[in-house]
Amino acid sequence: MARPSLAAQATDGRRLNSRSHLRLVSAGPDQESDAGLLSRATARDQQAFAALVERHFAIVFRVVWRMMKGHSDAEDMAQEAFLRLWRNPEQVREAAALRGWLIRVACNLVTDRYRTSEGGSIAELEEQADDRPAADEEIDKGRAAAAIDAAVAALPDRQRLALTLVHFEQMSQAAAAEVMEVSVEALESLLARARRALKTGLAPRKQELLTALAAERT
Amino acid sequence: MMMTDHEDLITETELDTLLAAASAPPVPLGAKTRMLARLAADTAGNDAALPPPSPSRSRLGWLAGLPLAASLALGIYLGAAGTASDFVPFGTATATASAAASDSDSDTGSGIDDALDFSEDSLT
Repeated sequence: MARPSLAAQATDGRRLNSRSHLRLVSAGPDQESDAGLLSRATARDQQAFAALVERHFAIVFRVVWRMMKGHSDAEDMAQEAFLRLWRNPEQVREAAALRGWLIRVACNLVTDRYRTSEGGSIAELEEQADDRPAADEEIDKGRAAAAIDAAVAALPDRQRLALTLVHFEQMSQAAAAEVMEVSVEALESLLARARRALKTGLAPRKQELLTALAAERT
Repeated sequence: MMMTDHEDLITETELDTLLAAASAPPVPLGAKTRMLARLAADTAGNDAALPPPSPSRSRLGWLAGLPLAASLALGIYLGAAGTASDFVPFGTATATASAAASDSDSDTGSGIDDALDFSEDSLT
């Protein structure tokens, strides 16, 4: 079979490109893959970057919030991670792992901040009181949640991050291990120690907490 | 840590129940908007820090370099042809020659001795 000429191939390529472009445009940034959005963001497309923010900001914020024990600077740290991405998108080697990259950068920023700027560590952060107003019927649940939050906040940083990624953010162990740059076995060890510490820490209030949560459910 | 009361041990299921009740931090209202505003400010700041692209300035650079390049090329050509001295002004060439001749004398360039010689010649 005769091979198409280069001109024909080029024309076909243009058709394909325009077709795929049309598909992307019609699908909108919400359906576009991270790779596509990242590629456009690398070309300084702010709309594509806004779509990445829309897609990943919440999880980055939640992880940072847990790492900083609810500190009000959590939003600032999450923003900083995205700014790093905007300034140097080439740093992301694999677009499919963008979410993990953002979380890792954000966690490193948190660690660096409390290691260098303030001369302390995350462990020295006081857990922020939850000042959200609670309705009367939610007081018990609120107290239980506060006690559980306090127990999670008391965990060592690495254990808390492992628990946050796997338990709270429902990431696979492989993905969480990649974010933390450890082996899956090391992650499992961190998770096991975290759960053991939580059991120990929450044991004295077990009945009170479970009763409050059961009452909430009924 | 020793557990004195066996009933206080928390099972895996109970721990999962407790963890499910932990706070789920909501993203602050307007956080994404603030993020994009910060991005825009960062982009604007970087653009301001960089020198604006100026094609006209680069063209001017070429124009300014042309006379210099032409003089250099002319100098090389005349030097290679050995006719560079033809283009040196006469007074400058004489002064250069006399300065070279007087370099061997101890009296350099005062002109007083020359004047005395001239006057003695005129008397005799």
